[in-house]
Amino acid sequence: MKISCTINDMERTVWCDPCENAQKLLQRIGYRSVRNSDDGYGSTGSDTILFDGRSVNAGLMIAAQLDGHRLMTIEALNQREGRLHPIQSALVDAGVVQSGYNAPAAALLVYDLLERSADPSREEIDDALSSLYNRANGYQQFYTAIKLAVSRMAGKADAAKLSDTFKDEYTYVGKPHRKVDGARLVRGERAFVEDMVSPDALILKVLHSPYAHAYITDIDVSRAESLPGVELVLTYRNTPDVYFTPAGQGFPEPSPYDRRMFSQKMFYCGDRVAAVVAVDEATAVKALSLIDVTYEVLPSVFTASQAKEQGAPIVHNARVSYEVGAPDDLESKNQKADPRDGRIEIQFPIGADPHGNKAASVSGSIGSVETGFEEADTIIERSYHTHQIQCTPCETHVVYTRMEADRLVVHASTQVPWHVRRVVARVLGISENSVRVIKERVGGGYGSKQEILLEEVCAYATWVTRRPVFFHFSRYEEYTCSVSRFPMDITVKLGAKKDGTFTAMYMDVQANTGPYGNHCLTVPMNACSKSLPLYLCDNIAFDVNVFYTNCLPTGAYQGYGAPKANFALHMAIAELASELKMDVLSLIEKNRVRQGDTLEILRCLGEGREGAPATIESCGLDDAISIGSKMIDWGKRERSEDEHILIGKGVALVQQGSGLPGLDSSNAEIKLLTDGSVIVHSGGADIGTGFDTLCVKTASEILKMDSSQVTAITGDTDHTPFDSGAFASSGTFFSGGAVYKAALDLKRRLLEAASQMLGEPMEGLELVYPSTVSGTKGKLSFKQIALQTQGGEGVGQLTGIASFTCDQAAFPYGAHFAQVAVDTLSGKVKVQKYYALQDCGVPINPELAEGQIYGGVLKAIGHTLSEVTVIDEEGRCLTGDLQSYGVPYIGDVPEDFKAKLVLTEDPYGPFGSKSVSEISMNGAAPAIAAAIHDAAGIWIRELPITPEKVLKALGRLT
Amino acid sequence: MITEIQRVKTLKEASDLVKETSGMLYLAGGTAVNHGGSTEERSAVLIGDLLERTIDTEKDALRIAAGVTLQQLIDSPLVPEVLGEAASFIYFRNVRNMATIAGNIASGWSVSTMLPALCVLGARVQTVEGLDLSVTEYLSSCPQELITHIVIPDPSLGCATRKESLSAGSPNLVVAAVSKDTGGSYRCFVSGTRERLSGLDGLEGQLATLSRPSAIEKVRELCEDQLSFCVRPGASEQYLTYCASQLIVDCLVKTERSSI
Repeated sequence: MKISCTINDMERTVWCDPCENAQKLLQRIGYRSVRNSDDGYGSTGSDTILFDGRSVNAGLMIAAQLDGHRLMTIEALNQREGRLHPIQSALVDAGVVQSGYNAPAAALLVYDLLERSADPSREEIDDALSSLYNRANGYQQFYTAIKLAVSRMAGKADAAKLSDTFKDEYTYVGKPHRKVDGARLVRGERAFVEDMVSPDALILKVLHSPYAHAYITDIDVSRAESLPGVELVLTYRNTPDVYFTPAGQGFPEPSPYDRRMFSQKMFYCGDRVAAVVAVDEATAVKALSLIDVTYEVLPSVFTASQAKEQGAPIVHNARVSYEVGAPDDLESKNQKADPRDGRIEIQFPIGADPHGNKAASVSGSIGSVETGFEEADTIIERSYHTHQIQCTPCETHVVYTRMEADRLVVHASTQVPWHVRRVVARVLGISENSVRVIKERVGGGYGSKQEILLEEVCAYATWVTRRPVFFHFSRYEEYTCSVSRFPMDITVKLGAKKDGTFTAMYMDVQANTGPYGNHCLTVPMNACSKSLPLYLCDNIAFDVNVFYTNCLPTGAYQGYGAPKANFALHMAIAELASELKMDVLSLIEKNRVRQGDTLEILRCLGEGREGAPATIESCGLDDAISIGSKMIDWGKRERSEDEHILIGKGVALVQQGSGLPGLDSSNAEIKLLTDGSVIVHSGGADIGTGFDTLCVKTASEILKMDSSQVTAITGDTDHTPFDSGAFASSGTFFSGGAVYKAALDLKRRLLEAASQMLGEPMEGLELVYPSTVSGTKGKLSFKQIALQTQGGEGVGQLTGIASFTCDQAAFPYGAHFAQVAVDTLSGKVKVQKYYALQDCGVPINPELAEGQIYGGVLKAIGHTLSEVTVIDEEGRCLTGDLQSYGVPYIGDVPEDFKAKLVLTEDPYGPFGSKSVSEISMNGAAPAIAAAIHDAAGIWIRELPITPEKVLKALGRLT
Repeated sequence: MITEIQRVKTLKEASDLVKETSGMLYLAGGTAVNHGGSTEERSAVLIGDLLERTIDTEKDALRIAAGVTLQQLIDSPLVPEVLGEAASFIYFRNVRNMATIAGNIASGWSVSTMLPALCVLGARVQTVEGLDLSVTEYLSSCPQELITHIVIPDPSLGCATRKESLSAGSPNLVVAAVSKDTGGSYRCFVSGTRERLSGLDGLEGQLATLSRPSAIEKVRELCEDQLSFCVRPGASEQYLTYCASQLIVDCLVKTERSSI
């Protein structure tokens, strides 16, 4: 059918299937900005276009509906030479554009808003952006961005401050700076994996298990294979018998190798049965329906408490082996293994007993909790239940693989390019030099893209067919086949003297790792290691037990277990304060850590290796608590005009790490180019958080250059040096630390070269802005130095090279305050105020740091109040879309929402910086739950805190 | 999922085609028909450009053309506040810009945003075949008839509507609406029940004089007797019944206030 329409004021005529999805059509004909992230549910806005002047979702339309109409996409605003429309520049400058997958849609929605209202109110902004899903930065900065856009469009000075600034002695560090990939993202240019796909790429689709626990007794793929257009059908019968973990962790991983590309056994509802690789999506989907599978269905277990029962179904009745440290009874247990369950290969002891469904366990203690509890005047013991929650990145998991000569190229949306290379090479049985991984822009990961979930099967399909192959999760697959945060049952026992001094702390974590053991030791262990060390006590103990079940898969998620335990610990502290009749903040103040304290408990919490006590070198809790308590007017009772609405306040401290000391490593190089500009090559992965910007600012600051003279190339395994990856809050500290050291190394080489050229000692030379070495005998530009060193008589190209490893911890801290209104008739909880005060050392990108705090907090508010993964009794997911899962939108943003950075200086991080993002997730649940108690006198110990639970706690429902 | 599309020149042709062709759907805004959740392969007749999009008054009544979008209902000063409020229960503006009032009536959403308000307003549906029916008659007897207009006989009627959802963008769990006519009689409809839309009898103005908790308890008894809800993720039947009661009381109080 011929479709004629006007797109961006140009007449377009397209021949197409009239039923083709309009979003797919528009992207196919070149409007890249019209993206898909919810498969036509109308709940993300990635597919926003203006249709006859109204914003609509192209994904909810078919091609025939476009005929005769006037369309506008963000490409209409894009100006020549990469210049930005004032709306686009405002969004980037305000820090709104982080992962950026929805940035073009955001710009278009703001354009539509400002066409209707020149100076919009908050209500109008909320309405205009209601269609936009933004997981990265919590919406708050949109209000700033729109003020900026209004003033810029009127040709006036900026009407809003971008962020606080820090450290006057620096030019770039601590100051807002346009995110270096922001323009590309907000213009909707080629940036993501989907933008790299060749038109002749094959499409990979997966057949998923309809059963939570079953053996495949027969599988016939002959009808699928004979369908024209099908290139390859993969099952457990024709794929490598190699076990691996998708966890992109330091090697050797503490996660067991318990996953095969395809298995004969299905471990959860959604597990891989087979894959079809075909010329197009329709053929692949059709072929999936032609695969005949017979299953032997097995009884399932879905919770940790079910899994640990005597006689429970064994999730992995596999043959278990250990690389080192096998237990003595292993062989006797292996005798009962079923070959159809495959194998589990464990690298080193992690307290596992898979035949008893135990995936991992660990215990530790300092002092004597028994003695501590004996010394206590008051003891409380409470149990808390936390649920399975999802990362829900805007860009679902995606990969594109192709051959380049005899090498495999993987275009990945990943946090861990080097782990992708290692796992792909291992599974395919080829050497790592045969694989190149290019990390494209990442449209949100939040931990889920620390997992290798698609890459190995897509790479294998390319390796076999020698054809380019594209594999993209649907939103439903993202909910069912990606990873989520472990459900955990956490019991906390606290003992205290009458004055509130803690005498003993005990935490018991029972975690559910689901069907596979990726991160099964480290996430639940991190729950302890990022909560207990917030408080000083001589007697601390913890037990962690993790169980395999047949629920949906779990894995890494921003916060990495810490939000769960922090909820339990701070709820217990609030409950203890109530018992002691003390103000909870006073109790916190009495026991919390301070700068200079040594954390003995970390001796027992070593992430799969021996731990060590750590000293707190910098801690911003003094300021965070002091400023935050004033902001929220702590201690003042607020009242509503409605007698049925009760208002309360809550607080929680937060802590995280900055990478993994002694485990992570990063490398960087900075090359001086002929004209004096530089390129930074870093293995670090920018996952939307601004790491590339950090590279540019770091080099510019140290080398006294204009930032336009610095380019960052990151996350490409062929063209950048090794890096552990972007997880565990390592980006700024480790990857940034390597760039910092490489810049210092290049600075030294510049001074050495200049010293020779000027004939004066290095000690008298200094770098001065812009790109100049100054001495007593004269000045040399970097260009002059480059020409000399790169010439025939020179020493060669000047390159700064550095590695960064560190065995010292750099803990970021913070205090989160919430004020909630509890409607005692509806059970609804409204977060009226939320103040997140955080110490990330010296903030390098302050506006982006604030954005990450807003994003983390709003995610955590969602986890606390509305987000929930529900499976039925067969293990099928009932919440496989953004709406039914309950993600927050701009309408859920607290009325008064502030992220505030408190300055400290860490001795080990670049420029004194520490991490910022993950920690932001840890405060909302306990602060809100405590505020609910403060308001209504009820303790709700199970997340999410739905109106129904509130009504039950209030006695209105039974 | 639409796999075959038909184009026609008049609404009558569209209506005839749908009646003649098993399984064929009308495609106007597309928010229901093209929704990603519908995976069944269907054919549809395109009517988006054939539907009128006008809102006008006819004597005391308000006549809303079938193609009027939910956002138009919010924006139009002619439309009673309660209908604009009901339209805003669809959280996403993009969707409101696409979804038509007729589509909202005719589509099979388990929780309808507009139906309770339309029912308590006594709205009538006019079809391309010349039928003129109440909304409930339309739904029960001829839901395939193509709607051309919705007529609100008394737009000034005192009424209110409320909804409950777990978060701003979460699916609506329950939508309720209440009206009070000049004779003092109440009409109440609830969507989200097992029947999708249910009327509730027995509301009295006296309830509005009780304390809200007491009123909720009284209405809960009525709801327990007359309504039945499907369990939804994060919401039990008991909660949904309570929720409906609370929404109805809110509506009742607002209706009483607006009637004074």
